[in-house]
Amino acid sequence: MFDDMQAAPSIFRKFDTLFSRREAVMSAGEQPFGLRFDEILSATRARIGDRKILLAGSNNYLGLTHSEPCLDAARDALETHGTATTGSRLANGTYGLHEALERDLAAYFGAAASLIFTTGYQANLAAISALAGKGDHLLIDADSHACIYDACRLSEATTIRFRHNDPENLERRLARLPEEGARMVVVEGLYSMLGDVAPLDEFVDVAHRNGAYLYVDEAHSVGCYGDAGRGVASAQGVLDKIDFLSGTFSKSFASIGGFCVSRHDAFEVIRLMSRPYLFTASGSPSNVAVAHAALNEIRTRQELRENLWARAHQLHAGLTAAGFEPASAPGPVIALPRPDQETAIAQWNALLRDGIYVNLAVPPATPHAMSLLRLSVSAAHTEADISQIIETFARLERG
Amino acid sequence: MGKAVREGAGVNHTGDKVSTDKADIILRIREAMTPFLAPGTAITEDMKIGSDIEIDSVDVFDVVMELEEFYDISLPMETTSEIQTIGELAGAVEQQLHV
Repeated sequence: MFDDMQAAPSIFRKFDTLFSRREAVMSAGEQPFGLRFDEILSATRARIGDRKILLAGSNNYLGLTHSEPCLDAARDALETHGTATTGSRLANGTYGLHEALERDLAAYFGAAASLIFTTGYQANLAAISALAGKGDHLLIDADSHACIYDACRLSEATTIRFRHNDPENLERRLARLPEEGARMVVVEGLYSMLGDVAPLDEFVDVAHRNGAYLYVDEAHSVGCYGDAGRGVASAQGVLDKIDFLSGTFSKSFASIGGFCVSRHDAFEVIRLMSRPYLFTASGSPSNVAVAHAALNEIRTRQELRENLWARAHQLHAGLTAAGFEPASAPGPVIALPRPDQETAIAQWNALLRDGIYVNLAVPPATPHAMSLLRLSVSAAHTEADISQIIETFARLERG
Repeated sequence: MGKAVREGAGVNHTGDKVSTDKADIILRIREAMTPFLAPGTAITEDMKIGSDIEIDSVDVFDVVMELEEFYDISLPMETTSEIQTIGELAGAVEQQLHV
């Protein structure tokens, strides 16, 4: 049919726009989406080549990646259980440490059921796609993370988006649904791009009044908000009313993996049918052990949250005084909208040259096609670190 | 003529009367797309969204939400992800408005 592959339709043609967008970003300096750190020196410092960089975009909210309890837990698990489980949770991949973490997460959240997953992405993919089936309705916040959108595609449910953080808009959409089929509303506690918090107390009310379950992803908020770090639902006094609460181990928990807990004990049954849970190897022993050690730190060390919030307020106030307009109230995520993508890329490069790493976020990964410089605060940042970040941004604004 | 209008269709959630004719729906789509288009861009039923009309997928989501609000309907993601042309989008809106 084809003499050689030169004549075949290119499988890469669909990426033409992507190639040109990447070129535009790369031509402005460093490659923000392929940056390489040569060494991670601490929770807040890294080395690129011979330059020391202050990290202000690592989502390492509590700074536990280099804490002794987490490092010890990783070493012990590695020595005792080896480097990997090499199997699914349903086969040879369930160890005592997986079950112990599930038990302690259930106790921490006061939940009836608790499952852990190999990544945070898989937690939402596995739980949402398993819970919502054909004939059911998923109602998702328009600014949901990609894993929530992907979970909806994997489920066979009908998916409807509602306006971001708008319980009234959700209620109108719920009212239009047919009576048949189960309903589940999916929202996040803290939105990772703009750093805004959901009115979970209002969402609980609207969802339950309209016969819908409420699923909350607290990936960025567990550890940072609420009583003993239990998240935004806890901070708003509605934790016991949330039907499903998911999170990740890759931020405050200083590891990798994810979890979903529920007040419904029947949730456990998805272990037998959820594809992203079943058809993958379970979390490695050291990753699971670190998440468990971090859970103990999160629960007991209030001073970590106190430092995080003191630094978040310092950074928010300093950037505002320097002429920037953060997208949201002070919090672990501080996003600065820039006038356009070119400005955002140029400023991201200038910051890196001055020794500060932040996240660059551009369309289509951002809401409303915004171009952002996104900062995340860590409990491991010192007052002097934050002052250095503010001063570097102030120089940027002065040109 | 011929299709029955679903109960409540033709009135949006603010109580305003809206036309459910396809030609008027296309006019409304044009209005919803205006913020994302070059001034003076013409829109016809057979135009492909994303190629004939340069608008990215995220902006299409905003257009869909605008239409949902205006007509007081819900367009499921499974439906909108299959839509390629302006006519198909208008058809999907029309379908939600009629039983």
